[in-house]
Amino acid sequence: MEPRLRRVARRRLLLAFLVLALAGCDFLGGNDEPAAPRLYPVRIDGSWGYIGVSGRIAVVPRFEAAEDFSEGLGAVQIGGLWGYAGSGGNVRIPPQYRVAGPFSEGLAAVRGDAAYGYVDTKGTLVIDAQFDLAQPFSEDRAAVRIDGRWGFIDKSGALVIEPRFSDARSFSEGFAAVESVDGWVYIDRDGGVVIDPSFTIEVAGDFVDGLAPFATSDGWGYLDRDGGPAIAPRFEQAEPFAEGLAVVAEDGLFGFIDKSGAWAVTPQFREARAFSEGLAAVRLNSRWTFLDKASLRIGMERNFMRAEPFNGGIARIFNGREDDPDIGYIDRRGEYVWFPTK
Amino acid sequence: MKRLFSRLALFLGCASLLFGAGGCDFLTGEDQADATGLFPVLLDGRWGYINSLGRMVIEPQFYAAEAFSDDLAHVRTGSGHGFIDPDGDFVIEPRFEDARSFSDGLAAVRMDGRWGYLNRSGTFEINPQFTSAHAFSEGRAFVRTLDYDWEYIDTSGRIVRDATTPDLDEVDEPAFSDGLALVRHGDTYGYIDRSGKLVIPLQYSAARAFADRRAAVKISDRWGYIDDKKSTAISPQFISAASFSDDRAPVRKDGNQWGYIDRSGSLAIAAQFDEAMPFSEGRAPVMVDEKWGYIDPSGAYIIEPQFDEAMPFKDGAARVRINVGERQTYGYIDRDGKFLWYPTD
Repeated sequence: MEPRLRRVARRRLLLAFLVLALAGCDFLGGNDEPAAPRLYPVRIDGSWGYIGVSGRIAVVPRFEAAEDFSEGLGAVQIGGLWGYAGSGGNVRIPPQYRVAGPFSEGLAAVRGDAAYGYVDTKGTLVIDAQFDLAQPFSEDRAAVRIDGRWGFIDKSGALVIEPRFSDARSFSEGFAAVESVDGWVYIDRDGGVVIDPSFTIEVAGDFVDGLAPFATSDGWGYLDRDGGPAIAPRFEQAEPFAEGLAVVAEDGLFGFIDKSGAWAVTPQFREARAFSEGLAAVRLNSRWTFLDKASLRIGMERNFMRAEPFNGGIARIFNGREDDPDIGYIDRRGEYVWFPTK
Repeated sequence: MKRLFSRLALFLGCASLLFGAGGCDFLTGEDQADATGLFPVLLDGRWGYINSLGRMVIEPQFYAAEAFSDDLAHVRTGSGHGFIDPDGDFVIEPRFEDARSFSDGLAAVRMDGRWGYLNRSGTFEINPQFTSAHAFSEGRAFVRTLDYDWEYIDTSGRIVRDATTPDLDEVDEPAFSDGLALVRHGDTYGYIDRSGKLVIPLQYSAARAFADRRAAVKISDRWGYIDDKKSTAISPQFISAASFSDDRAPVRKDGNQWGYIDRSGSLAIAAQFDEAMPFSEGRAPVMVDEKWGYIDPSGAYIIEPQFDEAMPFKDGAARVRINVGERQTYGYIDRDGKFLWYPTD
C-alpha cells in the first residue's frame, strides 16, 4: 500500500510541476501556427493529456479521454461530451458531441444527440446533422448512411451518389468498394460501377498502389484496377499494400508478400500489421514487436502486449493489463519516448 | 546482502592494497597482456569474471554468466538475458527470455517464446521463429520449427535439406564437426553433410558426433570408431566410447573401467577410472570413487580426485565444483592443477 501511495504522490508532484512549467506554453504556443506539432495522447493517473514527439508533455493531462491529433486538432472528452483541443492545449471546439471523429480534408463527422453531421476546424457545423452513420472524407467524398442505405456526399453536403448500398468503404485511388445485392463491386467518384468481376467478391478492401485485397470462396487475393485477379485468391487473410508489401496469412501464420505475390517475409507471425514508416508491428506468440523493412528482420529487442503503427517517428504501445493497459510510446529503436503509464 | 558488501569491501581493500604495494608491476600491462581469458566465478550468490591471473575484473552482479565466446558473454540479470563485452558493459541489453552463447558470429535468443539469432551488434540476423534453437557450428544450426519439426538451417535462416535428408529427431550433440553432423531418425543414427545429404546411412543403434575426424558408433552392442571416409577405423569392442581429441579417446573396457586409446585403438592409458572425459589442452577430467581429478596425456594426475564436478580445460583453466554440505562452490584450476580461484559460492 505504502509504495503505491508514494508513487501516486510522486506522480501528483510531477503533475503539479508540469502544470506550473507548462502554464506559460498555452500563451506562448501561438497555437494557430500552420505546421501544428504532432501530439500524442497519454494517460497519467487516469487523466488524459498529450505529449510531443520528443516525449515531453505538451498538453497537461486534464481530459477524461483524448484521441489522436488530426489536422491540428484532437478530440477530447470533458464532462462526458467530446470537443476538440488545439496543439496549445486550449479547447478550440467546446465539448458538445456524443461522438467526434478525426478531421480529414478539413471536416470531421460528429454526432450530437441523434444524427451525424460534419464540422469544420473552426467548429462550424457545415453539413447538417442528418445521417445515421458517417465516415471520414477522402477524395472529396464521404460515405454516409441514410435510412439504412449507404451513399456518398461531397464537401458541400450534396448527395452525389444516391444511398443504395448495404455497405460502403471510403474512396481510395478513385475507387470505393460498395456492397450491392450481388456482392461487392467498386464505384467511381460519380457512382458508376467500374469494377464488377465475373466472380463473386465476398469482402473487398481498399486500393493501394493499384491493388485491392478481396475475398472469394477460394480465399483472399488482390484485384488490379481492371478488376482482374492480379494475385489469385489463395490466402486465409489479406490486407491492403503499404510501402510495397502486404500482410497475408497462410496456414494460420502471417507473413508479407510483394506485389508479384511472392513472399518477402515467410509466414511466421501470429499476427501482423501493415508497414508504416518502415516498421511493421508483428506478434510472435503473445507479444508484439516490430519488423524492420530495410532488413526484413525484427528491429528491436523490446516487445509489448499490444502495438500500433508508427506515426511521425514514434509508435503507441500497450503493456500491463489487457482491460486497463499502461500506454506508452517508443521510438524506432524500441526505446521508450514515454514510459507506459495509465 | 550485508555479506556481499563486506566481501566486496574486503576484495576492493585487497585490490587497492595490491595496487598500492605492488604498484607498477601490476599496472604496466602485465595484467592485460597475460590475461588471455575471462572466467565466470560465483561470489556471494552473484556471478562475475576473473582474468587468467585470478583477479576479479568484472564485479559479481549477474544471476548467471557463461564463458566469453566471440568476445561476448551471455549473462542473466533480473531483467533478462543479454551479452557483455570484456569490460563488463552490456553490448546487448538483458531483455531476452533466454539466450545461448555466440558462435559463428550469431547467438540464439528467445523473445516471446520464440528463438531467433542476433548478430554481434544485437540486431536480428534470423527472426525469432523457432520453438527451439541450438548454437551455430560450421554455418549450420539445429532448430525446431513452428510445426515442431527439427531441421538444420544456414546462417540466412533457410532450412538446409535435400531428398536424402531423413526426418530428424532430437540428438544430444546437434553440431557440425569436420563437415558432418550426427542425425537420428527414430532408433537409428547416421550422418549428414552441410548440404543435408545423408552421407553415412542410418545404420547405427547409437552414435556420437565427429571429433578429430573420428566418430564413436555402436554396432551390435559394442562401440567402435569410424573415420570420415566412412570406413571402420577401430572395430567395435568397447562397452562405451567417447570422442577423440589430442589423439586420445576415453573408452570403457570389459572390466567396466575407463581408459584411453590412441588413434590406432591401442590402450594408451590403462583402464582405471570410473568415468573419463576427452582431453582438451593436454588435460582430461577423470573420476574415481565419486571424485573428479585431472590427468595429463601420460595418465599421471596433475591434481588428485577431489572435485564433485570437473569441466574441460579452456583458455588454460578448468572450472571445478566442490559441494560443501548443501552449497555448491565453483573455482578454477590452472594447467598445473593449482587453484586460480579457490571455489566460492
